[in-house]
Amino acid sequence: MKIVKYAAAGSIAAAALLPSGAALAAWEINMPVGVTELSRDIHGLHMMIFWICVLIAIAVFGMMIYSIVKFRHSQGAVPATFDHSTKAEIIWTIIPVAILVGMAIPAAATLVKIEDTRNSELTIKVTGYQWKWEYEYLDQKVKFFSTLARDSDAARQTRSGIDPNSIPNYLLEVDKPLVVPVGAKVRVLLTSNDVIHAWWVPSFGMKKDAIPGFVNELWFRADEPGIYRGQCAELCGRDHGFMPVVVHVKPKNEYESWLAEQQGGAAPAAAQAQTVENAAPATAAAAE
Amino acid sequence: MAHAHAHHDHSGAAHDHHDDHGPAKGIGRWLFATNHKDIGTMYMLFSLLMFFIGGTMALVVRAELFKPGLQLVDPMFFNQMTTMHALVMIFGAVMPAFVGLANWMIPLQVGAPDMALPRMNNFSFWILPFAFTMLIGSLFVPGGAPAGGWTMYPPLSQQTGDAFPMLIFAVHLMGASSIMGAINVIVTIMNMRAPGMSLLKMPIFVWTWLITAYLLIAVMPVLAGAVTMLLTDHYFGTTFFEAAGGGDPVMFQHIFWFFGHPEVYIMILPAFGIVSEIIPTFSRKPLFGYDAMVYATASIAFLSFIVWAHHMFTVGMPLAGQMFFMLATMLIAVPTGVKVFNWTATMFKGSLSFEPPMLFAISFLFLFTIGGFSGLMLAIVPADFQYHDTYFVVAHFHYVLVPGAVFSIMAAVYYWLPKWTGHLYNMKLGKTHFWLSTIFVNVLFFPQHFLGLAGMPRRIPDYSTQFADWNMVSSIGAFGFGLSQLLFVYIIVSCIRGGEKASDKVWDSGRPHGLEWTLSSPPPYHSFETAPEVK
Amino acid sequence: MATEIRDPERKRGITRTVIWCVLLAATFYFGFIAMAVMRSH
Repeated sequence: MKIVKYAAAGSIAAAALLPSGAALAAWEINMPVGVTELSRDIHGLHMMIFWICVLIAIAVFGMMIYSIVKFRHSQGAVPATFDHSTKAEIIWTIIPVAILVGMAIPAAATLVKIEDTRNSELTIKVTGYQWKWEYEYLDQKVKFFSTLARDSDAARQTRSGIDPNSIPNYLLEVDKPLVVPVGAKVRVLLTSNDVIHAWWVPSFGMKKDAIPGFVNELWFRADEPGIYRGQCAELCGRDHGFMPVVVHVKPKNEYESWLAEQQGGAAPAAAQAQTVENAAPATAAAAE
Repeated sequence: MAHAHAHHDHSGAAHDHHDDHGPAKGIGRWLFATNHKDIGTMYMLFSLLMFFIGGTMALVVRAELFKPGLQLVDPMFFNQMTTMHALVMIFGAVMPAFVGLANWMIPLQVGAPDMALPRMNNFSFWILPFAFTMLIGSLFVPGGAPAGGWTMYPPLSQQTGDAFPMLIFAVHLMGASSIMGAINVIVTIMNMRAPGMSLLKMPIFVWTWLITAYLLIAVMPVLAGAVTMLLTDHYFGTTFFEAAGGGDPVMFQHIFWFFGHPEVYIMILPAFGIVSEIIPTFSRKPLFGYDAMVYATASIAFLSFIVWAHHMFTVGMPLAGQMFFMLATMLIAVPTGVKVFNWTATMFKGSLSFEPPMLFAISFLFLFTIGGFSGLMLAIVPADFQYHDTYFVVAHFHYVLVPGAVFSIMAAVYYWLPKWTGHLYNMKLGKTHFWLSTIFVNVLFFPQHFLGLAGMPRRIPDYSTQFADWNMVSSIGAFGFGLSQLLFVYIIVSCIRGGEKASDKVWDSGRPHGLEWTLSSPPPYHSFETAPEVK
Repeated sequence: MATEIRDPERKRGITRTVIWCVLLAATFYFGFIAMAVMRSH
C-alpha cells in the first residue's frame, strides 16, 4: 500500500521534468526556462538540484521501504541489536558535504553574474505603490503608472459573476505595460512609495523587493521579443494580488518609436497629473 | 531522594490537603493546577482546540482559492485569514502541543515527581487562553484582525487598525509563556534527574527538549524586542523601521528572522525527539547512533542561529551576505540528513510493527524528508529568486510543519495516550485516521510545489486561470484533511472516557525503554515520589 | 504538598539555573533593542 502511494508521489515528482513549454498549460508543474541567460542558468540550477534530490530520495526511501517490507514483526523477523557505527556516521556526513559543495559552486557563479549590474544600456526606475507600479525611464522624460487592466479588475470584484476564464490574461494584464528593447541590458532601480512590494517577472528569472526609502537594483537582458507577465511578490495589503507586472520586449526600432510616442505631447504631463490623483486614493486606502 | 509521605504539616500557608489522596475536585483542580500531568493535559486540549480554529481559517482560504475569481470573501478578510491562520497554528497549536508533551513526559522520563517550578508552570499555561481570546477577538474590532502576515513586516503592519495593540500584546504574552515554560524545562532537566541519569543517558525526547528550551530562551526575547519596536514606532514616535525618520524596514526583517529561523527549529526538534522514541519501540531495536543524534540536534540548533537571512534573499543584500547565508543554510542539510539516516538504520534489520504511532512516525520520515529537499532547493539563492514568495515556499514549510511537526504530535498522542488515560484506544480507527490524513495531506500540499514553480505568488486571494487546476486539487485535499481530523478528536475523547485497560508497558514491543513505562497507566498523581535508580 | 522541594542543595541549584536563564533571555531582549537604537540615525 505504502509502496504504491510513494510510487505515485514519485511519478508526480518525476513528471516535473517535462519541458516547461509543454502544452499542458493548465497543469503547469515546472518553472519556465525563460528568455534571459540568467533565467536559463537558474532553470539549470533548479533542475540539477532537483535531480540530485530525486537520486537521494530513491536511495533513502528505497532503504525505508525495503525495511518496511522485509523486517516485519508479523512475519517473524528477529531484530538485530546493533545500535551505532562511527564509520557509518562519518561516511554519511562526508558524502552529503561533498554533494553540497558540488551544488554550491555553480550556484555561486550564477549569483556573481546576477549581481553584476555594470554596462547597462537603459535604466528604468520602478516604484511600487498600493496597488500599482510606476515606471520612469530615467533621462527620457517618460513616466507612467501601470495598473491592473479594467476587464480583470471588474471580474475580480467579490461575487462579480463574471467568469475569469472569459478574460484574456486574467489578472496578468495592465493598462500600460513596460516596454523595453530586445537584447539590451536593462537596469531596474526599484523602490516603493508606501509599503514593501516586490517586482517579479518569472520569464526573466528576476525578483527583488521594492522598499520605501531605499533603492534596489536588478538587471535583465531579454533575448526574445514577446510579452512577459509577472506579479507583485511581497504582501502589500488588500490588493497585493492585483498589481501585475507586464513587460513588452520589442525589436529595437519598435521600442524607439514607442519611446518617441511617449515623449511627444501630453504623455509626461498626464503622468504628473496621474501621480497627484493616484496618491490620494492610495493613502485613503492605507488609512482604512 | 525520598520524601516521607506528607501526613504531617508542610511549610507554607495555604496548601492542599487533598494531594495525598489524589487531585483536587472541581474547577479548582484546573485553575490552580500545579501538577505537570494536569497542566500537560490542559496544554494538549488547548492545542487541539486551536488546531481546529486555525484549521477553519485555512479552510476559508482554500475555499476561496478553490476556483479563480473572488466568490466568498473580501481580499482584506482573506489576508486576515492567512495572517491569523499562521499565528494560531504556530503559537496556539504547535508550540503549546510540544510544551504539553514536555510537561507530561519530562518528569516521567527523568524520574522526577513534577516540574521544578510548578506554580510558574500554571501561569505559563493560563496566559495562553487569555492571549488567544484577545488575538481572535481582534477579528471583531474596527479594521478587523491583523492582515499583514504573521511576519508583521513594517510598513504594512503599521497599517493594521484597532487590532494592532491586541496583536502586539498577544505576541508578548505568548512569548512570555514560552520563555517561562522553557526555563521550567531547563531547570527541571538540569536539577531533577534521577540519580545515575547522566545527560548522555537521558531519553532522546528529553535531550531535544533541553536544546529546544535553550533556543526558546534566546530567541523569544528577540521577537519581543522586535514587536516592542513596532509598538513604539506606532504610538511613541520612534522610527526604528521608518526610512523617513532614518530607520530601516529591512532591519525589522533581520531581527524578526533572527527569531524566526530558530523558531522553526523550535517547532521541529521536539518532533525529532518524539520520532526517535517511537521508531525504536516499534522496530524492537535501540535507536541507532544515540550520541550522533544528540550531537546532530545540537549542531542543528547552533546552525539555526546563523542562517536567518535565507528568508530575505530578495531584500537587496550584498553579495557576500547572500553567499554566506546560502552556504550556511545548505550546511544544515548535513546534520538533518544524519538524523534521517539514523532513523532508517534503526528500522533496518529491526522487527517492525505498524500501530498508529509507528505509522505516523514513518509518514513523518518520508514526508519531512520531502520538505527537507524543497528546503535545500530554496537555499540556492539564484533559484530562490524564482521560488521566493511563491507557493513553492508555502509547500515547503507546510511539508515540514504538517506531516512534520503535526504528525509527530499525533504520533506522540497515539503513543502516550494509553499511558495518560489508562485505556487503549481503537487501533483500527487510529489507522484509518492515519491513512486519511497521510493521503489528504499530500493531495493538499504536493500540488502547491507545482503552483509555485508555475509562478503563483503567495498570500493572494485570487489567481490567473492557468493556476486553476492545481488549486482545485489542493482545496479538495484541504477539506479532506480537515474533516479527517474529526476522527482524531473522536478517538481521543473515546479513549479518555474508557476502553480496554492499558498495562504499564502498553506496547507489546518486548523492550521498554524510558522510565515512563515503569509506572502504572495512568501514572500516580505525583509520578515519582521516590526517585528511581538509573543504571 | 508532596512535590515541594525541601533539599537546600537542590533549591540552590534550581535558583542558580533560573537566574542564568533569565539573564540569557534579558540579554537577548535588551541587546537587540540596544542594537537597533545604536543603528538609528
